[in-house]
Amino acid sequence: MKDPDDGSRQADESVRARRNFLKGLGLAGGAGAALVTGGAWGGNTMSDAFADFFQDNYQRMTEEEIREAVARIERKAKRRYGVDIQCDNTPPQEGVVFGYAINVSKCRGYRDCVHACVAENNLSRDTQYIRVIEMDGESTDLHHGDHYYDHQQVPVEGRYYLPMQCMHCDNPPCVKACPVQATWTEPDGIVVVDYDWCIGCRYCMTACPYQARHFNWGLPDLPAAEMNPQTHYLGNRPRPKGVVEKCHFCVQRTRKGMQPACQEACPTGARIFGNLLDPDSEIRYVLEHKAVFRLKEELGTEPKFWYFRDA
Amino acid sequence: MREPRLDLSSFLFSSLGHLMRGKPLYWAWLTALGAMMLSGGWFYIDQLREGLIVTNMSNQVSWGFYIANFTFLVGVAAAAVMLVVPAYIFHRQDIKDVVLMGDTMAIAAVTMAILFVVVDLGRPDRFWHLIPFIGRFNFPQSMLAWDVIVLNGYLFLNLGISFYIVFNHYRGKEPNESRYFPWVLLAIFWAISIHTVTAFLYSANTARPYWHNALLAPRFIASAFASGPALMAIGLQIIRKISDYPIRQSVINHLALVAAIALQVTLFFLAAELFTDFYNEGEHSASARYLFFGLDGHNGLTPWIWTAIVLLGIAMLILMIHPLRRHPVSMNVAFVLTIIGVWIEKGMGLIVPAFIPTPIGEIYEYTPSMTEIMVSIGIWSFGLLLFTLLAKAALPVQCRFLREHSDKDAC
Amino acid sequence: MDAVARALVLLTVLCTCTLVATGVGAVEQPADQAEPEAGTDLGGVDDWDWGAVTELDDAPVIAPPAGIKKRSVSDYVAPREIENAFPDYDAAPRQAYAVFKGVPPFEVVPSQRDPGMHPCSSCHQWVKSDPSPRNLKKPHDGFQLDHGLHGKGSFWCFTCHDLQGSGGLRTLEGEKLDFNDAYILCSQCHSRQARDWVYGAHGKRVSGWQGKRQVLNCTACHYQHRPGLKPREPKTGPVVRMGLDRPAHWVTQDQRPAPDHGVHPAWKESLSNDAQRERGDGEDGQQVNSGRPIGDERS
Repeated sequence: MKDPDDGSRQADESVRARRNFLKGLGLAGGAGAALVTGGAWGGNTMSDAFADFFQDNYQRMTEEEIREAVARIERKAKRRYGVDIQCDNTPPQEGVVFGYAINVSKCRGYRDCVHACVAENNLSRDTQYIRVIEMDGESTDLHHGDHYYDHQQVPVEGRYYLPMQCMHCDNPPCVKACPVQATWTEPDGIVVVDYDWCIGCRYCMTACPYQARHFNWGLPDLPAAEMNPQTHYLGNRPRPKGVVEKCHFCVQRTRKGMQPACQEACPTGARIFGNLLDPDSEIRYVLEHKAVFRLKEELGTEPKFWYFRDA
Repeated sequence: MREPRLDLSSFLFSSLGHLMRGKPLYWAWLTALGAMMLSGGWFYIDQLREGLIVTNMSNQVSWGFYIANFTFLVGVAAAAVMLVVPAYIFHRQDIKDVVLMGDTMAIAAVTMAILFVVVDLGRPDRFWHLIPFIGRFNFPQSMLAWDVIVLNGYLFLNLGISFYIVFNHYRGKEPNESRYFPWVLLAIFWAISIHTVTAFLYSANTARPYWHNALLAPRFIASAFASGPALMAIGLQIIRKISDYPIRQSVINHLALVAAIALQVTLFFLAAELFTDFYNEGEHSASARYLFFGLDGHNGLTPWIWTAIVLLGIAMLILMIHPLRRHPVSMNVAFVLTIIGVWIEKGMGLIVPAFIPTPIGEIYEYTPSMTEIMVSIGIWSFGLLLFTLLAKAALPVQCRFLREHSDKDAC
Repeated sequence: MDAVARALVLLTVLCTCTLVATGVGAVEQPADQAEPEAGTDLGGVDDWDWGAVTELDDAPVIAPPAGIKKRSVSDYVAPREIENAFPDYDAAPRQAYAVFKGVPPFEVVPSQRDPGMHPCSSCHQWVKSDPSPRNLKKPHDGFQLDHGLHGKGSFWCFTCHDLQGSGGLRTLEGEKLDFNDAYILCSQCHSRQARDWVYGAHGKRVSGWQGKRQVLNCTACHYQHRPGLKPREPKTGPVVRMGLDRPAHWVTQDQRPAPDHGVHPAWKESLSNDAQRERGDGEDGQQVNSGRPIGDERS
């Protein structure tokens, strides 16, 4: 488990004291909680509902607590979807900070990345983390882009395509905004959400300048037959309703050295992903040799998502 | 005959007794409020079961009717300071007699505001995540964390001060000024801070140019001091009508004057906003254009905001012209127009346009769904019920105290 | 003597037909067919003496055998509507020649061969190849070479293919080149793209971001004989969330509901979806996009 190096680690006694207090609360008032969480998760057992209710923030859980939480997630998925999933807790790699670049000359607006993400990350079928915006070739004005283009053929002459997803900012306004610290930046640069801690206030969605965060307004519409069983606690494991989620750079894949699904799916090779700290990486070559730009740079969010053109 | 024991338990019992005794109008009022609360609760249970999908909010417009009401009510709560300051700082006795009603209104308003946030949460069962040390509280970085602190603090401050005063009056004692005055002072600054923090909640977002301006917090205070006193004035006149509690006309006039000035400032700020947005219009004004003039053919909120501006203008004129301000009919019309106008301008007219267009340029309009409206009515009913019950319990105590401790032939 | 010569020619014709019919396909064949026959030679360059072949323009068109095996990069990749030289993931990746300095070693996935036309020597050991640029006849008829902007026909088969060898590749200087090293030839004209490809800003990486870098050959995406990428239909876009039936609105200057007024003249042609469908527009991509890649892909 990542040990936050910002000094917020609680002393052992207070941790124990808090846990005992919570257990006491659980004995006293768990029934009501089970009712509500039962509605949220449907078909939960009583003990899992109690444990769910009093589950701590990921950044504060011990290894054992995380293991128990992961086991609960796998049980819930089995109960709910009938699918045996494997929920990892792969830690971030040392010396790795992820960056992403998109070659705007090469993106042809196919939206293969969008649908790969939906399939890989167990998204509700009405949610897409990636949004490809069709832009007027003469302008960079996002207000005149088309999010819902539906042409017979792409690319359309005179237009270019700007895929947008979570930019994993180095100075993320969403992390600052969250009142319960349910979203934070991991050491490998990925801005993650603890879906079991989020209270669904949607302040982070208000704060994000890239409209990158999505809310589960209802139960996710996730067909069991299409589920991806390889999941990560902070990534694509099945999410409950009432919480915020977003692109997480396919944490279940990238922490194992694999490409994110969007990059793998792109047929044109427009997507370039890698370790910003590795001077030999492709992403570093792009940043050093291409005229890269980021969106809304003037807001000071320091996104780790660049765009560039070939010529 | 034995002297009645005047302690806490007897205070609570006698308060309950006051609540049980009332004219038919009282019971009819309670029944109506109860019915609306029940229907709100019914719809809220539906929302808990299905999720927020039963509202009309979307990823594009992720805050709507609930947060609009929350914003308005925080302003109303803050405006209790308009009675507290003259009462305790300037020692106006006529206002001091009714300052408790102002505190009671503040309590009801803050409770409603907190309830509106709770019904807006996607996971209200995880409320304990907000408790410091037990949960994980992102203080001082998150403005929402600040808001939780200031709202709850204001609630407990007002509850504490009001309880202290009423309980002492119940026991026939004059409350010890040196004991509660520091808390009153704190409450005055705290009242300004709850609305400033709520304004900062919005103005902190660089992603939303409609909110991201320095004028937002001053606008909040100005419109709060228009709508709060208007609401209080109407409430006090109703209390004066249905009970014998002495509420001098000077109090109402004071509130009207405050509202008049606040309305002038509000409309001046609005004019400043319009000028800055539209003199040299860039894309930062897109939300303002959507609100005031419509954007690319979408103008769902345009009639609302201009109605609000007209209502506020009329109310301001009435309250500025002395004879009209003094006349009860025109004055109350002005109060009602103020409340409606500020509710629109600060509620829907502030929250929804910031999401249209989205930061990446999409326009998706929003109108509240039936669930949102019914739950909101339920919460408003709860707030009114709370105010009614608190007033019903406190007023007899105040009456008796006034009779025994001043020459007034009160109640 | 005449009878013997005629008999010999007839025998040659019969033998050639038999040989060709046993497992050689045509260049252009539909993509989704079964695996190629076992035993078909799928690689390598044979050295044959071209001097011994005779021309055979009237040979019948050879029907393609079982089709080319196609593999997608992952389960998510849509089938590419391009012709041959698909990557052969079963073969061992080849160490790439570093045509630029300072690049970490990387590997190239070798390409499959088009069994319909490989090896060229299977016909051209008997058939003399005519090096003059012309419209090709059977079995190469219908083959369109559309490569090269600087005047159509400025180069043709033997600019890239080895006339003296068996049709394998050659560099511009005439040295023999394996098909799997095609990028060396491509980089001789397209040096800007080649530089980007070697360093990783161009092309498709098929290994994970970590570890040995394996990339696809140029021809895996750019069919060497007609390199322009064809447009295709996009996948479905976003929807507004469940429970909200109203369609989302666009923000474009020409305001979708009224395509016939207020439309920016530059967009009038193509962009109303209904109008597009009514016109039956964009079926072959010609009206919407000329088929040329966006931007100038030539260095």
